[in-house]
Amino acid sequence: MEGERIYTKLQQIFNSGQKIKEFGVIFEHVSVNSEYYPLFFEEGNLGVHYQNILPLLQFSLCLFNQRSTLSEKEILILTKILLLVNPGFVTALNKRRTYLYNGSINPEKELDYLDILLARHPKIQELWIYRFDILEEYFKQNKNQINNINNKNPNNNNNNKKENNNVNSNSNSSSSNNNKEENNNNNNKNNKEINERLEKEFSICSKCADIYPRNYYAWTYRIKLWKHLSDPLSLLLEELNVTMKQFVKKHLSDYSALNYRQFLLKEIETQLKKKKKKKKKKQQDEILDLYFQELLFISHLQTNYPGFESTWQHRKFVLKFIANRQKKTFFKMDLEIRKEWEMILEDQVSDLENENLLKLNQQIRLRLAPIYKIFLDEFNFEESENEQNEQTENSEQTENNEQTENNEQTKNNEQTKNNEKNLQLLNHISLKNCFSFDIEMIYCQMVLLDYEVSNFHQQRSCGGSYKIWLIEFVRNNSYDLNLNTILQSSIKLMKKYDTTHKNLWKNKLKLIENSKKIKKK
Amino acid sequence: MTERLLIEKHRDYIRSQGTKLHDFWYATSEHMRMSGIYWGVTALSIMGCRIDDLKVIPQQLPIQKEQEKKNQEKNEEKKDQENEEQEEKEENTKKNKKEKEKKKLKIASEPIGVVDFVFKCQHTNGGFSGNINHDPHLLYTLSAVQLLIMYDSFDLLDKDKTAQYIAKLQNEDGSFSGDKWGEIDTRFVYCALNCLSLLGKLDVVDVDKAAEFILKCKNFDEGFGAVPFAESHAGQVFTSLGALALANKLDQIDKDKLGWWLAERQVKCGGFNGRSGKLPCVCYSWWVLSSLAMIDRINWIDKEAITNWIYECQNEENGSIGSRPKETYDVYHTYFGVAGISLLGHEKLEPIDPVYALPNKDLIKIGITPFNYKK
Repeated sequence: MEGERIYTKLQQIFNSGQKIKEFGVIFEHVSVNSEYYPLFFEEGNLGVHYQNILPLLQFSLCLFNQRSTLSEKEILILTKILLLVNPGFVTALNKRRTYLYNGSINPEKELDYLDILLARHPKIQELWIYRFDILEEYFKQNKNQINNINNKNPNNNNNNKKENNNVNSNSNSSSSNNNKEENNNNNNKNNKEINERLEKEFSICSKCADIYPRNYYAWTYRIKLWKHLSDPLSLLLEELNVTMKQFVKKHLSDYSALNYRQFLLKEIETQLKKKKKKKKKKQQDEILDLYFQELLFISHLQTNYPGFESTWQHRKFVLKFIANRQKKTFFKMDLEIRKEWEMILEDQVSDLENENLLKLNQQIRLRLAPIYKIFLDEFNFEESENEQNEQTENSEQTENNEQTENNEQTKNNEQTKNNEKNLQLLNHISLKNCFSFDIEMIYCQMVLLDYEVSNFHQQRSCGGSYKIWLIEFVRNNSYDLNLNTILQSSIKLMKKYDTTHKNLWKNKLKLIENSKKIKKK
Repeated sequence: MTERLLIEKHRDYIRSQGTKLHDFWYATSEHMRMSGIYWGVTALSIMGCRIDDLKVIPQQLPIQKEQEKKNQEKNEEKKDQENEEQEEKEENTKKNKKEKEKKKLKIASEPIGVVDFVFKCQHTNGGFSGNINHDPHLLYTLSAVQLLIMYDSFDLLDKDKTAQYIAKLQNEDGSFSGDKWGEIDTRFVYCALNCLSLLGKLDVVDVDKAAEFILKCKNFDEGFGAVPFAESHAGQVFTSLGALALANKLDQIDKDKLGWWLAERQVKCGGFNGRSGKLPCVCYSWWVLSSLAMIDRINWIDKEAITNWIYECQNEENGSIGSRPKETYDVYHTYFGVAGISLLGHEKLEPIDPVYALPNKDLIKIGITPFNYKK
């Protein structure tokens, strides 16, 4: 029986205590003379031929279904082998859980075993759940060890539990008491071990997320890890400002990472509230600052790559928070700016040939550049970049019709003068102080302009959808009746181009019509 | 006009699945056999095919050497007679556990009827496991109850016992664990409330608290994740909405907002994905459409496009439906594809309820009114 033979050989390898780094399926047969025939086993890499997987699985399942006749030791090996080829088998996992909690399985070694399983099967929810159980057991056993050692000392440090979880704890005892020192040494040792372990867990999540984008369970696991850090604020900020920024830049379509950033922001707010209970206003300012930084971060990504649904979804989250915290400034209408984007919307709604649209885009760019610049300024974008673009656009325009050219040139000159004026004004205002719905609409128009003609579906279906969401959100919060008309035009435009979701837009138009009717009554 | 849904082929495919011991998928899905059977049976039922004569070999055959097998078979016939007499004596005394186990194994190696299989998976605590001698779990308890209803064997069940098993799995915050080991997920709240509602025993748990927990898993986009802070996912939206529907709390949802998120699951090719930016999969045909049905916005999507796409995912040669055109054909995707089309309304398919995930006719049998929505 092939299955039995493979099983026995695997049993041999596991019992020998040799370290297994990786398990996989091989497609070439192993030489009959090799030591572990028919298995491949070299330098910790264990391989089973693909034709042997099913027989091995069948044999292991049979054996497992007769487990009442087996000893604990035999079941330990059996489940270890069975889970290699059938990692979703919860009853087998449960058996190992039992042995984990009764001490027959060492948590650290079990985590290593899970590494092998997850490397091959990173999307199995039950493995991640089990891994978290092992981790908690590992921490629990570690704490007990330290507590036992510390308890032997008469001067017992009551903060043991908290410090054991504190990744940032410094050795705080300046006391000359030997016992306290010993306690602290033990605590620090424990902290170091826990730190190292948590670091490893975070890196496993990162690795998984890198290779298998949108891994739901890996990200959920990552969120759960924070439960074991009792003073995590500085680490949370590092995650937000460094680690997760690097990751997002490499994986723009990964909404799971952006959802994680939403968690970080919410968690940082919770932690801040815990810390400084008195200065509430300062707290709120700090949090708002973070959200503005987030807005700028996502804007920076979008100006380069406006076609990713994920970034626009995330933007909704950030914008909602800012709008709700800065109600007075955000919903306040700026007539001048509003005129600008309303005009653009009208032009877009009327049917334009592609050629005309390109021309229109260039004009709009010039007009809106100074306002748009406010976003770019915050990243210290070089002015020369914008100036260069404006120059090339001007030179392109001279190739066109002379009559309209002359008119346009004078217009442009006037505009550039105005722009310079605005530029100077705006240079002194930070985004936080002037950010409003109108400016956000300008931002959308600017970002989506270049991509209006090409790659339409991508741009329209996410950026366009976002615009509609934005107008609706503001209308619902400020009772601006004018916005109903604008909302309708935007949706009609989307309905025309986003045919995949034509029924969605059709129904949204119906809703507006119905709400109008209700208001009339 | 030729019928594009290949009912007869899917029927033949599903009916052949019950005994495929040497099929890789069959072996790796052994631990969820109960759900696998539920998917197959429900699909057959919706397609108007008979289910009463279905037989399955639920597990791998026990280990027996070929030579011994033949001798054993002869001896076993004699032993059977002796054993029957002995058992009658031992009925009121402690039963030999190993003997019971051996007998179970013997039966497991032969095809058995579905109801027979379901009861063999029942545990003394009232829960059901995914297969014989596996650990009980909420997921399989629900599938078990659903199967018993479809097989008109609901009255054979000790409803109180099963209700008690479920009640014990509720946690203080209203959430439910899948089993005694404690994993929490909105899916399990759905399983618990669905099962208890079918049993007519919702009063043994705190339904309001359960709804509270579900709402904690709601995100800013009105979607739901598996646990608080988790990403919105169409599968979790289905289970969360189902739970809220059973708890009578659908009014807590902004239906326009959620409808928008769900409608945007439809991608260019017509199929649905489960999260923004991901590839479509046939299983979302069920989860997205049933969610839209529960919030009465099923006409917010392009029905023709999704139906055509599901048809494209069919295996025209051997029957069954895959996750995507020409990919991963199995019973799971066959069920979800057929169920999705049924939700949209198809003249040859029986209607299926979006909340209970049972054919309407079976709900009516046990006195439950199917969910009303515009198709």
